[in-house]
Amino acid sequence: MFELIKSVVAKLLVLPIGPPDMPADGHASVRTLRASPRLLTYNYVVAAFGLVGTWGALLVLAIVAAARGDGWLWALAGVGAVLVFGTTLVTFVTTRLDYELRYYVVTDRSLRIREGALLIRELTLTFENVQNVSIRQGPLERLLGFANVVVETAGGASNPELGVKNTHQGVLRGVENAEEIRDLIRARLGQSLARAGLGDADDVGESQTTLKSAAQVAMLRDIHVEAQGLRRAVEARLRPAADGVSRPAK
Amino acid sequence: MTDALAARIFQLRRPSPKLLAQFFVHSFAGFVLMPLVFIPLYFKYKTLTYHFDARGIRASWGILFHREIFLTYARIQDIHLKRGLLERWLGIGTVEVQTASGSSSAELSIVGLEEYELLRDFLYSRMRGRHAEDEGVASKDEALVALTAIRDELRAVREALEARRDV
Repeated sequence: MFELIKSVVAKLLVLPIGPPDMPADGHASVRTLRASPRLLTYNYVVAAFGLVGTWGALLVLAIVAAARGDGWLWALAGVGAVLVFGTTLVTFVTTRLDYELRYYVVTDRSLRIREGALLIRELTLTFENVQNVSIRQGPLERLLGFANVVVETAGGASNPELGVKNTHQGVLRGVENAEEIRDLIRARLGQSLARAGLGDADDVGESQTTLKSAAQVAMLRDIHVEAQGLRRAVEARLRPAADGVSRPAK
Repeated sequence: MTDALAARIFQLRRPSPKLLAQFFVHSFAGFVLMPLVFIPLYFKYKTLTYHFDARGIRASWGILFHREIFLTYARIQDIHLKRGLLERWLGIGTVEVQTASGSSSAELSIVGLEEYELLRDFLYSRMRGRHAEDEGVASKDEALVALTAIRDELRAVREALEARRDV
């Protein structure tokens, strides 16, 4: 049933099905992670709580209509019922789609998070820019056995009161193996920090040797040889002039 | 492949005409004030230009309040690709680029491009943290390319000098 709705909705709303792909060049490893099915349960519960109010209002309206027996009240209740059923259906479909379209791709140097059912957002960041990785878990989330991994980059303040979201962070919502993912990202982080010469002071010595590739060093030697050759050529050219054998400069 | 990609990106100057359609529909969110919302958006569309070169992006727009943003690829931290329903229907997308600035909103929003996917791949290939290690991939090593150019220059000078000695 849902698969049918999904295929129709996906065509209608031009939804991306399947994981986002990374540019094919030079990724030593690409891991695609999904959110836990229990995140879906959690989201259903949250959505249901949000709908309790409208269902309650509909119920009250129906009771009042039954008590009064007014025709127009029944008509109002009918319209209300259609609206409430419609909202419920849309809410559950979007909740399900939000779960189904959620993908986290971890490569050896970058992270891509795709989320959203109506507005589709894809965040790409390289581990070079990551400042810290943390795990957040609420009580209900703990009960269900999943957590959120938050990856933050430099800068940016959020202000939840004004509804300003911090866009300098990526959140891997609802993953079961949060610790493993955090360790994975931390390991990648360590590698790229060492390469960039950032991070802890004792990383720097290592980075200076790794920054110059063997090919670069070989090329520097070539340049040295060429420069020597050039000096010899210049010297050879200057010597006859010093001897007084003048040649017309052409 | 990356050179072909860069060549295509460097050619981008103007947003797609579909952006105007997006702005038009968007401005209906203003209901009766729709013309007031649409007019500035119309001029934004009319004046919006992008310029991608080897080092960075330059974007400018506006007539009364002119804005021009320049940022270098090397400072890019996060790339957000956002596609709303309308944008997906029209086949365009918004690429938002973040640097380590204090603001929580995007540093630069590149709106109305049909080549959003290509652009993101391009930015991804040039953003911070992409070129720190490229051992073994000689053609992508920019330092090595520069060094090779220096060597070839030196060789050419030497050869030219030696050739003239024989005259």
